Amino acid sequence: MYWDSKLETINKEELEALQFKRLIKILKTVTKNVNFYKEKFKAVGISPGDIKTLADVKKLPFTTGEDLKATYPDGLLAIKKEDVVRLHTSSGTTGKPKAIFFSARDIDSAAELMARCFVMTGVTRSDVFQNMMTYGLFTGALVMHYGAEKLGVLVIPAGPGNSERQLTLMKDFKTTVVHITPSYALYFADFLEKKGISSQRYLSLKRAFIGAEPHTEETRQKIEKLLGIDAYNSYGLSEMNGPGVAFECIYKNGMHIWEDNFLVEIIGPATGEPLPEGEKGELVLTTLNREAMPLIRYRTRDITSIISEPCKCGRTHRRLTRIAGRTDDMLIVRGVNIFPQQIEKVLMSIPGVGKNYLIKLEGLDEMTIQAEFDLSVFDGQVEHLVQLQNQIVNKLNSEILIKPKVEILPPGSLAVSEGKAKRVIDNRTI
Amino acid sequence: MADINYEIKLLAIFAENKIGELSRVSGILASNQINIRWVTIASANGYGVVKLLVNRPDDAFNLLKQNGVPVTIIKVTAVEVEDRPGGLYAIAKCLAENKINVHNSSGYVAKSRAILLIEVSDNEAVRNCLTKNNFKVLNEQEALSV
Repeated sequence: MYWDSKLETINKEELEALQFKRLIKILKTVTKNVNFYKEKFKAVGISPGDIKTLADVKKLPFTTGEDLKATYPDGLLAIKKEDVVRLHTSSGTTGKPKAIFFSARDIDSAAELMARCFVMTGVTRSDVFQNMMTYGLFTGALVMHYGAEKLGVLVIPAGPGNSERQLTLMKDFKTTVVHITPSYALYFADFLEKKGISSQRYLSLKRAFIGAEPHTEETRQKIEKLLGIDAYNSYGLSEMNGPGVAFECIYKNGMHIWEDNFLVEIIGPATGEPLPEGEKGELVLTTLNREAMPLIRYRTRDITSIISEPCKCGRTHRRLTRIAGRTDDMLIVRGVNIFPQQIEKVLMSIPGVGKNYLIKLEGLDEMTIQAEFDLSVFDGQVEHLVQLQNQIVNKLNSEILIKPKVEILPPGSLAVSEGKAKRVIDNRTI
Repeated sequence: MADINYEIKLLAIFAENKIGELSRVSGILASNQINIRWVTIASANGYGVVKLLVNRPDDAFNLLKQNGVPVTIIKVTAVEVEDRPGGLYAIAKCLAENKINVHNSSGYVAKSRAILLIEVSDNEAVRNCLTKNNFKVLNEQEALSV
């Protein structure tokens, strides 16, 4: 089942021809309408005419998150302001936010890609979709919402939080699909368990789209098991429309990235040089189908690699492997580079470790991991708690090469978020 | 006919701050008229587990769970120890000779009767062994009414 069978199964030659045509068009637009790009291209002495093949894209300069902040609020706008219909901003946890504009056509294209994603996981018009993401400046909820409506799914714009109400909506309207952050999914599973409600028996849930937070395969499996559903990984970022940039199909082996809309490159984060196909590096994207705010070679800071082998689902768009981390999230502890996901992967692979954890960095480079244990393994033997603690320490030590302090806590001890989870607290005094 | 239950239920509560948790838990139980018959605290590496024998273990378990207390129920065997020198030795020797591995045990004396609570993996095996050797294994009702 495809939403747009022609474009989703397009062959390589036709795809590349389409990409090239769109790339040239967008380069001409930004050179004409966006001062930032006009000057940037001039500085390196390049013009759209120098791009003869897709591979020539590497001659173009990068756009970075810093550029978006520097040109805030509307320095990268490529159309007239009156033609803009929507503004979103990135979370902007540090300094200025990044502003992203959409034209009416951009909203429609984003919804179109999202509809492809829905169909790709088996969702049909008869499904009921409860959107448990934050509505507002954040793109996560709205873009998904528009995609679902485009497909013709009944949308419940629940927003996050208020688990009692979420449950009532799920029961009363027989919700089959949810869009949720992985941390809230785990929290919600815990909430159901406390109420003694079996999701399989009392709810109609079949699928969850999990995203907005990096998470591991182990976490996905935990969510699937706890809620008795299929959980699909999704990839997106506000700078590239939000969700629906890449999404898993029913085979759950990498996320198809819509290459007719995004030109994909993987570069060495330090060198900026393109890496051979299949190697892990930083994802760089060029928008190929956006009017209001095209971005050229945008450095996403996300670490991934490309799977080029054909997928059993028949879609020709290549797949991204699970995001291994965002270069911004990388922690350097006692000189060792550590991605929080490495820690999550270890924790979630240990039976007896519960759903919530926190990484604390304190003092002079001291790392403490607080992990909740699963009450079902608590047998009243204090020795078993110590064994669990030692097991966590040893497994972490072999994964991240430093020996953190580990504290295990009863379920419910750590603050839970119903939006994006905060997994790292850095209070180092260095 | 209801089976006589020889497995004694203890509440085991995870406690990081042992005295703080004990005060919270005993407060909850007190306000619900649940009587604590006996308490012990095990700790290692900074972790503590508070174990309680109460008169209504199932009610207490549900109450604590509703209040978010990390609690579980463990089942132990209660045996009466003769209140004389060598009383405990006789039991320990019997268990050792029968190669029964005891995880934990603790005792209490009430109304001049001494009771030993034994935590093992297989309560039935320990009960059979003790009964065969003429020790008095208490059922739930007896253990709670001492």
